[in-house]
Amino acid sequence: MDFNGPTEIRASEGMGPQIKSQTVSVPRPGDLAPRWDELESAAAPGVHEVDLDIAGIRVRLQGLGAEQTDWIGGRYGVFAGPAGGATPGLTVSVREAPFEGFLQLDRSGPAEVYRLVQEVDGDRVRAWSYRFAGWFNEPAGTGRVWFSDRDGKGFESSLENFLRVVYSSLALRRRGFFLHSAGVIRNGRAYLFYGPSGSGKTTVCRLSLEEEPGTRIVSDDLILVLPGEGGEGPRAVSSPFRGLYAELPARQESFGIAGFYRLVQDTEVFLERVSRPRGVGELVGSLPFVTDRVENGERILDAVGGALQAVPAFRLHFRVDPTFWGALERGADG
Amino acid sequence: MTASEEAGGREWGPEERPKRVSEAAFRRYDERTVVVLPRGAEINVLNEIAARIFELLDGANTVAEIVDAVCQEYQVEPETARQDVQSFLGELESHRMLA
Repeated sequence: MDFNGPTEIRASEGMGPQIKSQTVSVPRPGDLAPRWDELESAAAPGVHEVDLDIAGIRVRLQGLGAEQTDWIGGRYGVFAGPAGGATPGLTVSVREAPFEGFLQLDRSGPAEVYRLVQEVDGDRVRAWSYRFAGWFNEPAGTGRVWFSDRDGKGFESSLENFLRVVYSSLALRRRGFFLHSAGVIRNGRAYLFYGPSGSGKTTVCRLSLEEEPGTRIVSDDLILVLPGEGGEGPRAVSSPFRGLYAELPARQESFGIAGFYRLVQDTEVFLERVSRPRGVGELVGSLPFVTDRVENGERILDAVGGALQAVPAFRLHFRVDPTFWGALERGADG
Repeated sequence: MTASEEAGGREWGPEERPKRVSEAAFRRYDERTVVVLPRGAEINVLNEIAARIFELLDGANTVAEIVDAVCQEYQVEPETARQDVQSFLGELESHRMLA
């Protein structure tokens, strides 16, 4: 009976027990849980409104200060605009937090991995980190977020991280997902390289740019994957969550996906095709913010399984040089 | 030591009715099944027989009934099936995939 190793369970490159998504933390001693009732009475920094629109997924921010609004316009560029037009999927009220912070940053040792806590209460998803706390209710289309910093880097990084949580959830409603990955465009198609932190996503972007200056990088951090229209395969969609090497795009655009490539640093360079279920398992392990919430399980399997119905998944074994592009062009049989 | 104990679990009685955790989402793709466990954000990939057993772990089927199903559907000897089901249950327990 073919029962040897009934749970074909794998992690990174060893035969570890499972794939683990590392995007969510649990509180540690010293962290402060948001006192939601007290937060409710906090004031808004201003009266301005901005609409964010990523591939038609719209979020309205209300109660912003003038400087916050200016910064959002610059940071999010084509993805931000004045409120109005189509009804947003989520309207979020911005408030000033009457507390100095929530999670406590450990400065005693090496820089700690970013921490974020989420909890679900009915339809309400709560998320908080060092300098912000917020909630959103997708079915009701409402949300609220409190920032400890009115402006500056504290506000900017907090807003960005809150939006990443929100958009990761909203994408699932569209049968899409944000993948922790780097997206490089060659011949009009997107090659999506993924893997845990340190696997080489940023390196792949740098090598691609060195080999072919002007190469378009969609992102080296988060890529939005959405189903294509009219039966087309999934597409990699530009978003403002772009990392180090990608520039803010001048317009919203999307690209057909050549393949999903899990990065494996190796002494040899070759492409290894992986089966759809294994690919689903590996991709799901690189979805930030959503995998620990019970209500998302079916949507995740729908979205990722759907994407891999049309686009193949591979492991790309590579060295730190651009020869991997040769392997990609030759394909898994080359 | 039994197969289940080797896998880190206890020996399951034939009349017990093991049940997978309710929050597990699972989907079959081709001959494999992907299981997403929200608690701890774990993702597991099961082969065909393991997936079939996982489906049967609904709290209604006894261990004996599951062993019978494996024997009939995969043409294996009862003792082999019994040991493998025990081993698999132990593995699921160690991954907190049973209620």
